[in-house]
Amino acid sequence: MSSQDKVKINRLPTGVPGLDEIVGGGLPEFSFNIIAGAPGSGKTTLAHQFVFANATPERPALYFTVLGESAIKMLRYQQQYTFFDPAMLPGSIRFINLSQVVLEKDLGAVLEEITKEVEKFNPAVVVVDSFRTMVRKPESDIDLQSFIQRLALFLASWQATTFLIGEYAEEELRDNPIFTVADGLLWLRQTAERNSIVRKLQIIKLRGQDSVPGLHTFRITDAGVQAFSRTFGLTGKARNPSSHRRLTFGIPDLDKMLGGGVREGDSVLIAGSSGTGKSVLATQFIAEGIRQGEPGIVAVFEERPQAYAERAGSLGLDLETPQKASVITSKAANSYQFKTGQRKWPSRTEIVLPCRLLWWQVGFGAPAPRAALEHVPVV
Amino acid sequence: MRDLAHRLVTYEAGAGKTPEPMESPTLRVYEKLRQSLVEFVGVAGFQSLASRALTLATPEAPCLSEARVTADGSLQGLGEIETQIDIDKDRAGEGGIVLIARLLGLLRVFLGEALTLSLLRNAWPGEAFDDRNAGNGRKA
Repeated sequence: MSSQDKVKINRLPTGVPGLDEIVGGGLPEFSFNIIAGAPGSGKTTLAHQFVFANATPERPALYFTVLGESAIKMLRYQQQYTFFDPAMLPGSIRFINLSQVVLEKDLGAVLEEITKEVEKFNPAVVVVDSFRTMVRKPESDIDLQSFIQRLALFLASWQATTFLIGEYAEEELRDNPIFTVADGLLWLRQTAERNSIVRKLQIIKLRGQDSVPGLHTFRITDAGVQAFSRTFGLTGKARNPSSHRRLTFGIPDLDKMLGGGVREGDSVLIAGSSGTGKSVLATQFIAEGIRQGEPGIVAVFEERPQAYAERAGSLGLDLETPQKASVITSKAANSYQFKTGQRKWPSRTEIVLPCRLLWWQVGFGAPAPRAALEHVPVV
Repeated sequence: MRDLAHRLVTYEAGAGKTPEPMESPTLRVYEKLRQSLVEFVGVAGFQSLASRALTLATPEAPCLSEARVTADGSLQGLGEIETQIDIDKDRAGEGGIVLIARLLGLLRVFLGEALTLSLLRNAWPGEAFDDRNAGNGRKA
């Protein structure tokens, strides 16, 4: 089948910064998705971001709350996020509580209630939060698999993009029929790394389009969930080095040994034991760039930028003057944030090219940012 | 919130000048709030809020001591109080307004003003609820 004959699957923005890059531009329209994870992992917040990014008065979002967090408290907390727009309620986003139906009736009645509301409001997005609490009822007159099949079929037919939110353990992945029916499965985790907790997101399944595999770090701030692709995302275009220019250290014999200097775009590791001159050499690289009119960025770990500049000054390398002139930028950085991917600094858009980047104290655990930068020489 | 409650009751009193409805405007306001809120907080959620509002309102308006919130969240007793001939109608009406004001106050505490007003706009689509005219009567 030619590409012209294929049905075009629209991609809906997730409303989560960084997540669209991971899922190739957005989530497929009319898909039936599961957001799974432990309590407190950010499932509801992520769903809210999607809802606020896509709901309109013409095609609203229906947010079914079941047992668990009460709707009034959920709204109380969720409105603290910057993406929350109270003006969208209830015209574009309707919260509907199903707890009474779930408590007093069976899954058939729940399906009937969802059907009734969907037919009434013609939503573009449907969320059931938490779906898990709904399907724990053992006395249902229709079995779980049948319920899920009918729900998925109905919501897809009504052109709704659906999210079921649930607290699932990873060992349930194999046996639970819901994961077979789902088009997309987003798993949110909180993992302990030494004394810190790192949030990770995984796209376990996404029918119809590519996604970046693996575990992606995410964080929850007052702007909601923000995801960081573990590699290049699928939507950003990689830029190739534009030249084979060599960048000198300003040390004639060393530059000669290197064939004219470090090739533009390369990453260079300066290794050596304490006191062998690694820092001096790296600082000279930046200072030489300044002499040649190239802006520089110095990521300083475990040290204050001012102390770093003063130490360079004692070696006859003036970094303070260009820093004041914004030719060189020094940033005190937390290596942990880089290591976990929570901070990518500088981003491509922040860099004024040509530019030299000095990644300081890599040995403390921050990965050199080669993956985040192209044709910026990293030392 | 009292001004807003008064305004809603006044609005419903005006809207109720038709042959069919016999219940009090306060009850109509309460019912509209109930229907609107039950949709998203559930029956049990609304029942809890309404019970709390009644408890808070009763010391301020003792005539409400005869009223009670039923299991489905509806209000019993207020209509009877308001229709009793030997009770000052103004006092009874004032009790209803206190109750509505307390209910709206709870919503404001939990959801904030913006979201509360959004919900009211949904229940009374023809009304413009904002700070400027919150204290006025029915919009012309």
